[in-house]
Amino acid sequence: MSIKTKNLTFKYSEGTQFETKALDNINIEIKKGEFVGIIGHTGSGKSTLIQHFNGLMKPDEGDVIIEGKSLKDKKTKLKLIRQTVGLVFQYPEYQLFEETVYADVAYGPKNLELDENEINDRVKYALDLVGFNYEEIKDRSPFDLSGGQKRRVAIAGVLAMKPKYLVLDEPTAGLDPSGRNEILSQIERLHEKSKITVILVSHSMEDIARLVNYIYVLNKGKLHMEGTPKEVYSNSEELKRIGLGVPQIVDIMKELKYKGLMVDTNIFNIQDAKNEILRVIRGNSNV
Amino acid sequence: MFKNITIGQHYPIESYIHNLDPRVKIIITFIFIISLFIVNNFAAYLFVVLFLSVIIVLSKVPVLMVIKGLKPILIIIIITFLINVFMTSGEIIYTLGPLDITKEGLTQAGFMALRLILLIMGTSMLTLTTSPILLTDGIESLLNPYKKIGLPAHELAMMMTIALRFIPTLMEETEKIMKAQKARGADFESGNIFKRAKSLVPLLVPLFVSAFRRADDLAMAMEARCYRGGENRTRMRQLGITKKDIYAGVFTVVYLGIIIYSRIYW
Amino acid sequence: MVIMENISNIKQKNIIEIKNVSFKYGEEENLAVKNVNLNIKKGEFISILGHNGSGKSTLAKLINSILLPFEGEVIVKGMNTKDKENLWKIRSTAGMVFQNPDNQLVGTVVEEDVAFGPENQGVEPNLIRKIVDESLKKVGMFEFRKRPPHLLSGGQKQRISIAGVLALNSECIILDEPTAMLDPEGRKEVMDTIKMLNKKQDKTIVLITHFMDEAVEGDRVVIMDEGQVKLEGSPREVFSKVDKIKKYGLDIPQVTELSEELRKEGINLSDNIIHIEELVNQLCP
Repeated sequence: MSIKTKNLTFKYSEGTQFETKALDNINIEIKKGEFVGIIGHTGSGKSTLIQHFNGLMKPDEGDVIIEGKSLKDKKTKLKLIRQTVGLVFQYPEYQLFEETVYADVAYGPKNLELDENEINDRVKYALDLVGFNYEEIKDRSPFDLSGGQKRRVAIAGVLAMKPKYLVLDEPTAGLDPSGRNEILSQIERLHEKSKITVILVSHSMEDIARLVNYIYVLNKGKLHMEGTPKEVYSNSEELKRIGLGVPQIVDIMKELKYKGLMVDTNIFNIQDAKNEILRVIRGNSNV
Repeated sequence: MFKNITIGQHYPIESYIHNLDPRVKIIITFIFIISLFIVNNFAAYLFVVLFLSVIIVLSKVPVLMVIKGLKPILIIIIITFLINVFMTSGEIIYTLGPLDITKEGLTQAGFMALRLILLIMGTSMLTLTTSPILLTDGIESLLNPYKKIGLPAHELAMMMTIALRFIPTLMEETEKIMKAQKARGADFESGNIFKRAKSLVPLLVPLFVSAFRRADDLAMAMEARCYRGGENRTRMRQLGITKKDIYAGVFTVVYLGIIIYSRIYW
Repeated sequence: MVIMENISNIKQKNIIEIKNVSFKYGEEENLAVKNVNLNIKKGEFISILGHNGSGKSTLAKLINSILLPFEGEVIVKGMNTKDKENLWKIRSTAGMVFQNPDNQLVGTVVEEDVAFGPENQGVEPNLIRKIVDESLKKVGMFEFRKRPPHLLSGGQKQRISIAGVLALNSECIILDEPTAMLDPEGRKEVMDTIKMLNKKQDKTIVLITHFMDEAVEGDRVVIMDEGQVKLEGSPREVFSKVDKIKKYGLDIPQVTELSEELRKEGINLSDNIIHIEELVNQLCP
């Protein structure tokens, strides 16, 4: 079971002289349980791509098949798709509208026409998943919360739909370092605890490197590169050429290797880097 | 999608009419509208149509664009026509079931419909040939003298400018919020009127909250740039009356004269 | 000797003096800013860092008199912010760029927005035109002058806001988290513009941010937490205090953290590494 795109093409201003391909012949498959990252500069098509995952947009050419259901098939129920694939947009706190946190998180399940008990269970489940104390938070007004808290409520609102796949568009946008760390830790926990398939769209190479086990690189609407972090980040020159970067650690290790210190360059976090450098230095001094 | 909507259907090209002072255009439009209510016979309409045609030709705006402006109110024109045709008493010339069509009815209907059509086309010419900013400038300038009797001309103009500035932004935001709520299973399309109205709450509340927040931020930013109301404020863009404006003014006054004459003597 | 001293004093003159300033919001118990002392020299590029709620934004607003201190004084180019008469002069001297790129732009087209400041100052119309054109050229946005703001990218919008402040002829530009809502491209655009204005136009820059890689570009770094100044010094001096910085809810460049970790393990490295080349050169001489 997966989200699969087949030759997915999407055009803006179709038929006019301004016609552009926001997505050009994209073929990807995101399998259940994976933790995937999608990276690309602004305008590369990331936003358009993820909106195809839950049927907010439909392909002009090609197809998108979500858990076996094709978007091109008129019989496909979009509501079902949106239940399967939860999409959290950038700055999701701007969509909060209810009087209490409970009511806002319940909005999704309500739209699915579930019964009161089920809704109640789901709201509890979702708020717990994002790290809130249910009793403490449920009656508070979402507008009284801090930015980071609001964001977590918004994410809970999508989690209450119990999606099999969770797409997050720049979940750390606009947050300060501690806010970022908190959200990323929660997402990590989420993936481990509930086995949800997570698709993370981000500009931050460090965030991606920390969390995902597969990366898709978009450039000008095309799928430029894909692979494990190891594979993708080893192409740092190519990534830089298309306007993206690599985690600073990768740059450091590459520079060291270039200067003669034979370190493994497939390292993405500080502890591993430290250990590797020590290994090589101490190894050398023993010689 | 929303990014490309132009407010008031401005058609940005260069032309004699486009380059006229917006205040002059606003006043001419007023005079035109008034003239439509002074006219009381079809012969005079000839002059009205002539006047409008001159303007349309000089504006270089395609006639199709001007007529497009009628689309939204086509229904109203038709209803007006039909009401007058069937409801006016007089010499019956045709009967359609229970409804009578009278000669006076046809005349009256034609008259009213024509007035409505010319009214819309005339005002369309104003917005087609004047950008929203210039229109606002013109309105502010015309209302300025009334500041003495307490009319907040500058504040009104400022509100209009800010509204114009934020309409595309707010439309974008509406789209974003809609998508976010749709992703949570919202349905804005199906159901009866009540259901659909209710479904708008998750759209309107965030929009309003956001609008208030924007207003707060904007006010602070404006003050940080020394805004303190209209006192001693200058404008970079200056409106100026040129010879062309004077010719246009004279032309319009002559036209009005003819119309008034037609009412009295024809 | 005396002449040299005086010249250096003039060069070193403080354009902003924050003296024992405290501030609290409305009915709140806690002080948002607690007894802060800070002097900013003309032409300096100073970054004020802190996590959300540390008081950094509040401090910024105290400088251009959007907020007035509860205790203490803020003096901008010799003018006290508490003095109502000085209000507009202070705001003309210290202009401010805010975080949200959209919510600062008031004009329906770019040049109209940049003209807003000078119009408020009652500048003569022909002169405004010149000022607007110059300001737009300085930030590299002159070709966009007739565009409506909603068609610009975030980075471009922020550059317009900076142009709007330049049009006020401000000597000092305060930027309150100007890149927080931008993508990497936008962030780079804005930072390049800020650096250029500081180096080439001699503008005093006060940058409020939580991004270390931005603070690195400045002359001085101030770290705030709980309304107080906790650390102050050159970027190198401040960033070497890795553990403290983490305590204050901030990030450090990965290279700095890695260097610290290696030092702890006994590797001989200087304690103020902030660039990759420094680490590489020291490990591989």
